[in-house]
Amino acid sequence: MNKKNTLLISALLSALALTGCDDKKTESVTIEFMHSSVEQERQAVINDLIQKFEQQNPGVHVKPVPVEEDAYNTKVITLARSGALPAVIETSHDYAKVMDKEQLIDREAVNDVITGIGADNFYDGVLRIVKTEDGASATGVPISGWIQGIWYRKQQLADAGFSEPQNWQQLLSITTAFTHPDQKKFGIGLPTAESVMTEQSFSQFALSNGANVFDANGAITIDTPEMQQALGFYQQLAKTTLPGSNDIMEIKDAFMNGTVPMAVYSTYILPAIYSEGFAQDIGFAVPTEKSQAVYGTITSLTITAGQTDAQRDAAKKFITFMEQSDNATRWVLMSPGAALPLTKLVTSNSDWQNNPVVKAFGPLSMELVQQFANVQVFGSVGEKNFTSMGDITGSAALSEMVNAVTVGNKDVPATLAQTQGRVTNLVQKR
Amino acid sequence: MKPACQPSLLPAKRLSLGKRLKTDTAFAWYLLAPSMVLLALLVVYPMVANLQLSFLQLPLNPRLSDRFVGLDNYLSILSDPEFYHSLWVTFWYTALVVLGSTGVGLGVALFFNREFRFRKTARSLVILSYVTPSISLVFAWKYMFNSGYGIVNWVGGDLLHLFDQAPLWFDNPGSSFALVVLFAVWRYFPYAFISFLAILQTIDKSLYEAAEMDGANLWQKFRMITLPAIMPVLATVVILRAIWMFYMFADVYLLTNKVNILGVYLYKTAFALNDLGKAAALSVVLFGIIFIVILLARKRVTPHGNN
Repeated sequence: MNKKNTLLISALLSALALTGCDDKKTESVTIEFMHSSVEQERQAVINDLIQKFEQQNPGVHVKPVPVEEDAYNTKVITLARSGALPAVIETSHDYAKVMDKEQLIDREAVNDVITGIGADNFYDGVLRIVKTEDGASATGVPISGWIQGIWYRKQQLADAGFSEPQNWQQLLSITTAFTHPDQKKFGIGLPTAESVMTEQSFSQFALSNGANVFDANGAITIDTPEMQQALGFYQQLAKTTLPGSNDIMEIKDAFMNGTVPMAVYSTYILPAIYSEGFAQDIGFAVPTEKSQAVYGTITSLTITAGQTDAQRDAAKKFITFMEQSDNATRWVLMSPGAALPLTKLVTSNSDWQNNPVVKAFGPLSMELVQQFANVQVFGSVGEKNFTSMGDITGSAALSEMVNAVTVGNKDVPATLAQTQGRVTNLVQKR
Repeated sequence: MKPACQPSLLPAKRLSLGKRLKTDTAFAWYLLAPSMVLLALLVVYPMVANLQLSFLQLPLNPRLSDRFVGLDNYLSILSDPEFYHSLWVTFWYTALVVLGSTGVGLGVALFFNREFRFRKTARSLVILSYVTPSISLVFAWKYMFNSGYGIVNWVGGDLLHLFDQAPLWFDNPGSSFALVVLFAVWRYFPYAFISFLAILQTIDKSLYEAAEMDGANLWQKFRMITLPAIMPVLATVVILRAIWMFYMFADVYLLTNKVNILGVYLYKTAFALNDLGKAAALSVVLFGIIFIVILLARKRVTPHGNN
């Protein structure tokens, strides 16, 4: 009887153990994917990609978390504090710096994905922009991007006897010639509002003159002769723009309705230009003085720290999947023309090449992608990418400085000195 | 010494649960319990947690350790000139908007409290600004006051030649402040209007007839009949609007960068500078201020308090 019981118990325990093993094998893992594509048609694309991924990876579930762009950073902060950050997050390289500084990014997992994709597949300059402060890792896996520069109407400039500006002085000559305030016509749509766009726009002029917010040792270098020249020029250039604080809305409206023949804007102006039918008449210039300085933002998919091993692996698989040629192409083509591809896997994809918006701009589409090599951003000095730049941008100190001298007509040297003190204090406090 | 008529509580201890439930106080507590639990979860806990956060320096990453900084966050706020500037701006913003929106709401309600053609349509139109999403209204106003192609500058400059150079409405701190106040008065007066119209309709018309027979003029009728009748609603409208405006953020933040009210200051501290501890301390300070203001306002508006 005892023997029988022993056998029975052994059989039950074995069955239980085997069941346990089986359970472990088919155990599913769910990860969240936070992105900013809240529009219905974009959500449909992302949900479709997720479905495809889940079919290829049984047991891995991806829960999309779409969040409005305006509330995005606020949401990241609140989720981070409550320890509930989604495993995969879409983020700009700017905000990724803030996240990396707070150790919210799983650098190792991100590096693994980039190694898997192959660093050679990314265009020149792309991985440099997403580097961490020590330059050893990346803050995310780049999936799309946009660049900013000076858009101009070729025919209008040619009719007035001008060609593409090659330096600051040429740019100012053109914008001055087109400025007739009595007729409500101005030379350029230039960001002057207290906004991130103004900081980005001004950074192009400063960096093209060799002025940066940090030096190689991490010291704040706002009050320098190079920065003073750049801010002084920006003040002069702003006299040929629309009066008042100009931001996204004002600049786009002015360029599209013909109030200005030139505008500092991102590639997100291209879909509107395509719709209005003057894609062939558009030119792209880069602020140039001592060097060329394109502004660009990289959108990455990043993996957050603190996930379980299973979630971490699932996140790596998911981003690798999203970076595959067809999938990354679908991601980029959610905003055709505006969002630029960052890998050769997309630019070689026939869907991207044959997209009507991409085709309408002809060789310009590829030229824009190659401009990532010329991207310079404040806070990036040589191989170093100072993460405190995220805090400085958040404080709006630089855009307030530009607004003060352009709209408020404040004195350039005094404003620079004041901003130097303010930013130094801010960085020390953090 | 207990009054003879009051039932003694001592025997109740010996009663069974069912019998104890029958006592009024216990029964009331049972009924209130779910609300009290909810209140504790949704109000008391966040308040206590916020108070706790205000003494810490918090990293965004909860796995990194917090640092106890004592009163540093409070001292940092109280030594920041920007805070006092924001407080001053917020005080005037709140006072002017409460006064304006309540006054306009009351005026329109008095005007609408009578029979006329298309009264229902007109009432619906009046509340339009209140029910439309803020973002749509903000964009409409930004377009209206745009320096280049706004209708206001077109009418004032091109049509009526009131000014040679179009004013930069949202760039000048003075005009920005005036516009955000105007915007808020226009946006929120329908709330006061609805509240006042409801109470005005309950006032007995015979009171006005009697006052007329006594020779009372319009102002005397308003002061002696209307005002006392609407006083409870007036107190509620003023207090609620004051609280809402004191904590206002979205309208002002979306309209201009030149009016740094406390809501904007708080938002920037928390989400632009990521200084969550200081932001928590700031909300404690704001709570203290608004608490005192409301207590004073209640005494002033309703001299007899709840009695």
